[in-house]
Amino acid sequence: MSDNDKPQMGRFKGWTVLVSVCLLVYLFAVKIGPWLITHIWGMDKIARVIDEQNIDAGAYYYTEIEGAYDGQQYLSQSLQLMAPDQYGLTLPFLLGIALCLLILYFGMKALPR
Amino acid sequence: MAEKSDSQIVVDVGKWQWSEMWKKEDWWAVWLGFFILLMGVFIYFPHAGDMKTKLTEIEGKYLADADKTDKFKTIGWYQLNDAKKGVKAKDVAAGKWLSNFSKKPRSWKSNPLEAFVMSQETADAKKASAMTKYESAKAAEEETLALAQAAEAAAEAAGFNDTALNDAAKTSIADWRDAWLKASKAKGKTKVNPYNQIGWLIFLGISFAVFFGVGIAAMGKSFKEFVIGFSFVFLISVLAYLAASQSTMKAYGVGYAFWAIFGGMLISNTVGTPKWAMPAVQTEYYIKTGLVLLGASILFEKIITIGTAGIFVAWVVTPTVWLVTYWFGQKIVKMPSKRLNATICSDMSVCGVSAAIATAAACKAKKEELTLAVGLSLVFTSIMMIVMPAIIKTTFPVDKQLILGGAWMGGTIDATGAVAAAGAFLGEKALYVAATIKMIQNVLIGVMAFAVALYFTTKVEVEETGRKVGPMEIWFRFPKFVLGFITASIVFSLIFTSFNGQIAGLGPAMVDQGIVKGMGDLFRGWFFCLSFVSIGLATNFRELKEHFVGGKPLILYAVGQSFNLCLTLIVAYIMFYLVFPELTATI
Repeated sequence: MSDNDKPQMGRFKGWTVLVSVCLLVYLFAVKIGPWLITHIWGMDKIARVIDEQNIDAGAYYYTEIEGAYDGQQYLSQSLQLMAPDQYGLTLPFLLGIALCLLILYFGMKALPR
Repeated sequence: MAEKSDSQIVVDVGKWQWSEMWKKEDWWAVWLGFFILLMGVFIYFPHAGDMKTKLTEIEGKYLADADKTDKFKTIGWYQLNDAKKGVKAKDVAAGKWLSNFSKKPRSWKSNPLEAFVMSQETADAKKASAMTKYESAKAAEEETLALAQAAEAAAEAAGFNDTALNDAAKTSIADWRDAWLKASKAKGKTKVNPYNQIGWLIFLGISFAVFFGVGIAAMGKSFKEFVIGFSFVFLISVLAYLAASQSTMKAYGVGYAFWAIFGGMLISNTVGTPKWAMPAVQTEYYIKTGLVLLGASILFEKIITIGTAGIFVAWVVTPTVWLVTYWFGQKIVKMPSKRLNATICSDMSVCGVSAAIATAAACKAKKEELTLAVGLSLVFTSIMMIVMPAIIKTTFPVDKQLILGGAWMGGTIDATGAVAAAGAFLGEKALYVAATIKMIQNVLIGVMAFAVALYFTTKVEVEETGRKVGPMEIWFRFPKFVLGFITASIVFSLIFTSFNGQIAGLGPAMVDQGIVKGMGDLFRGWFFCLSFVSIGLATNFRELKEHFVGGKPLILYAVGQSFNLCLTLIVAYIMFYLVFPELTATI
């Protein structure tokens, strides 16, 4: 693991930097960050939506977002009710999947060596 | 023929031995991942009959009203879907226990202790404040519902043939849905209960130490040293979640991955990572186990959700952007590392952190390369989350803001959480379209990881070693955890479809809201967090700086994302407004 287990700076300096950075992060979280939200154009509205709808804006995957499940249900049911011929494994849909796989296959074959 | 072991690289061995199946972390990741998924099967699947009964009762109550007309979505149609969404396998007693057991630190504003402990008095005060808001939202919802019912009744009396009455009903129902959404969110905030998470977190840490320690011992390493070191890695993971759950950080969309890497790097570059913690710094072991769990949530039926338009935006644009950006990185930017190039291409074109993790593991990228790719993605995500809705609001025609805007953001913003926040800013439909496009892209992770693993095994590694490879050699070199990842995806996709074949909604109730959210998801986030902490603890700034020389990764990301923004917008417009306008009209 190379020299990662060795401190990068002296003990006193190391602890001073560590504690200072933690304090700065805390300061950003409770003072600077909220102040900036009101001063960046559009940011306050996004922050309000996130709070009101309880959205985890830091989520990395669809399963962590309730809106993804709601949207999935809403869109698939809408399509089945009002345009059932366009729902499911239609020919254009399968063409889309085939196109994706063909792009990947030929694209990766053609990548520069 | 075994490859030289290097702790900086995801290790795989080029020679098959049966003992690999219990001595290699790739296989242990598969066994541990499937152990968790099988536990989920044993806990939730016996409840399939109950869930089916509930769904049948709901259909009996609302289906007739829901199917009254196909001219617009009736009140009954919405009530049917709302009721079905409430059927969740994870609501059984064992599911609730598992949720408490694996709970991350809660939301807090200025006092970090609130993330771990909340007294009865504080909970009561919060509940009382939330109840006032809920009662007012509920009253507004009831009022709009009455108006919507009257408008729908008038349209029904005319046999749903009067366009003016149908439009009036549609507008009234849309107003009711807006009020319903507000009331439903306000209701969620009234569910405040006191908690003390400290004991649960200690129990969880011990359980994880034993869970991963078993594999460590089988691989011939010291169980005791691992467990001691794990206490440190787990503590930093808890602190990473603590930072991510702070309200300001949530507003900026800065999630646990950033804090885990940042926290780990801060320690390793200041006071140094303690030597006794190093046996638990097992980046690949945690990542691969998490990826097998991720595989279970990659359900292929989900790609049909938004029809052909969605598949073209998410599945045709994405590989095109990946390939063009990779080519640009190799030919024009001249990226020194193909693995860094591939990892950046995936996080930029597919879906940010989760795609970066899968690609980095599949192509055996270095820890610093994954860190750099994730860092770039997080910075651009936060910026795009704020800028894109503003651009859409000010430049898009009003009638295209929700669907075209939603599809554009869903196809380009990396992280799902930021996509949801930006979509919700524009409106409910934009949120649905954006989150669904992103979900379909998420499903592409499996295909991309497999393609990247195959490409690096058969092309890149051949060039690097100068040896031709036959089918057996491909098998020797292929990262085996990818097989577990793909298998989990195929198995649970089949189970999902089979449940849905019994009654509509049973798949989501049993798989999405059972195995995935009630089991895999509870642990996957923790495993990824442990791996990011490990990356941070084993990385120093100097090494990271070397990969950033000349700003090449930044140039690659910026150019690739610009191309992604243009292509996604063009394809979304063509698909949603020129080729499939009938589909768009249903949304």
